[in-house]
Amino acid sequence: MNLFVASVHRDLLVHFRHPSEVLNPLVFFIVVISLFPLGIGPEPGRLKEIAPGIVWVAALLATLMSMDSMFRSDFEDGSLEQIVLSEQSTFIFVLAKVVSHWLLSGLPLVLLMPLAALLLFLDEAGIWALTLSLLLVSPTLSLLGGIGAALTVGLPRGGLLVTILVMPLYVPVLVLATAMVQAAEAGADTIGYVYWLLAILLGSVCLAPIATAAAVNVATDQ
Amino acid sequence: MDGHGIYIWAAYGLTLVVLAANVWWPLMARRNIIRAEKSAMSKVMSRRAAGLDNSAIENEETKREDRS
Amino acid sequence: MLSWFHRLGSPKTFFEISGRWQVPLLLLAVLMLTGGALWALLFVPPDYQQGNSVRIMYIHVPAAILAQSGYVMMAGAAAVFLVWRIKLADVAVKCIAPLGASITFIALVTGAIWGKPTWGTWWVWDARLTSTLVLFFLYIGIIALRSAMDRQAGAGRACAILALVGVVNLPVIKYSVEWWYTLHQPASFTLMEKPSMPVEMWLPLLVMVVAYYLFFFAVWIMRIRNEILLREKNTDWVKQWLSIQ
Repeated sequence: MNLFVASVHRDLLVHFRHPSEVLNPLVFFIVVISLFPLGIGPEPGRLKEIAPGIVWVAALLATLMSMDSMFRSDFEDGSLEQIVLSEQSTFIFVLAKVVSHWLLSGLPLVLLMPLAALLLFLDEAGIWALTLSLLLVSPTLSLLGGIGAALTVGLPRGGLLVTILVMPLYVPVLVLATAMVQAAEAGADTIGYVYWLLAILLGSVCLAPIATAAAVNVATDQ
Repeated sequence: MDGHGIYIWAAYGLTLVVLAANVWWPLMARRNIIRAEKSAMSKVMSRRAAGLDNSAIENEETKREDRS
Repeated sequence: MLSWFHRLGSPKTFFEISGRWQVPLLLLAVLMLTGGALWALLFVPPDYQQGNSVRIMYIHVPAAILAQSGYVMMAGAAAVFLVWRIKLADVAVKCIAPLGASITFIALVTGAIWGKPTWGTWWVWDARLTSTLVLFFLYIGIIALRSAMDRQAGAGRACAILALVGVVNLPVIKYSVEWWYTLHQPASFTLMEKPSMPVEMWLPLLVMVVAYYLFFFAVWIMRIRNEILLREKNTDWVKQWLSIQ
């Protein structure tokens, strides 16, 4: 438990001192969303219809942008190897990393949802569903993305590779989350989607750190 | 063939090309490996035959290569 | 039984055994592929709905089946490598990825070509093609990771982890894509569905499926043998084998 708290505390502290690493993906998120009206046309009706998809794709891309740094600084200064060699559980360490990543990228994205909804003319039902879906899914994104981050941490240009590796894993949550928002806008009940997204989240919490920890072990065995 | 002929030929043709390439590629690779290794082996053997096989000298050379 | 398993894991043993079966396997595969293709092209009656374009099914469906089972085989080899550290399993994973990607590519493109006379468009985002596309990306991921890590020590284990992560996600992805498709196309005639087919139609399909599998194993073995030669080139048995080539 000590390692967990210490790790999250340290990550939050470091990022509060250098906020650009946290802010860049968020700015990227808004920029991407803003490009769509410029590309498609400003009619509210059309934008509202495709808004869930746009917001979600932008959120995925922004998350992947921030994923690269999850383990990189620890890898570079050698502390990753220290933790793996120590008696501490790598699983707990990975979980701590995922939590701090979520606090610094997933949670801010959730807070930006109303702004995104404003830009794309989502109505109230849509905003609620979008925010809830992102709240449920963003931890999963951090969990699954952590696998890709750990696999590529030793590589010089790992950033884009993480996207290729992790995107297929994001397909199910993307499909479910956008369907949930569309259902909410149509007035249908969304509790089923919530259950599915929760189930996927729980499954990822249990399984993803195993793969991530294994990948961290590989990366520090060089 | 009720106008679908071109599609059928395109599909079969592409499949043939990809499958053939998958046979051709390892065959070429095998030939290259054998050629490369045989020439490397014969180089070593001709050096030995020319009396250059002084293991101390060879160890020096490998050490120099490793450093560079 | 276990000792046979471990013996097969020795590159030398594998190389010798596969050397004897390589050529017959490849010949048989090519024979069956040609025979099956000719059967599909000339002797299968046209479908009453799709006309002659149904003949594409005979090269698309086996490819789609093999694309998926190829990934599962890769994951199996990856698991063997991670658990028992048999290096030949890592060779198997490395060699199967490009082959699986090619087969998936065939499935994708023949599926798209099949769609044109039926749907009128070159691509349609139906469940089968979409999940085949995602499968293609999964293969590409393995290949990309391997090539980015090429000479590094952990490359084998990293790719093995990725393969296992992929195979665990594969059913989730497939199921979610199929469900997604029913959301957006409620009443649809599925292009690739196989209603009860008469024998004249499924027998050549069976031949093609078997032929594709044989071909897959034959080419896989060819690639594995090459990789063994590369990795073991400093051993005596390889030097001896090379000298008689």
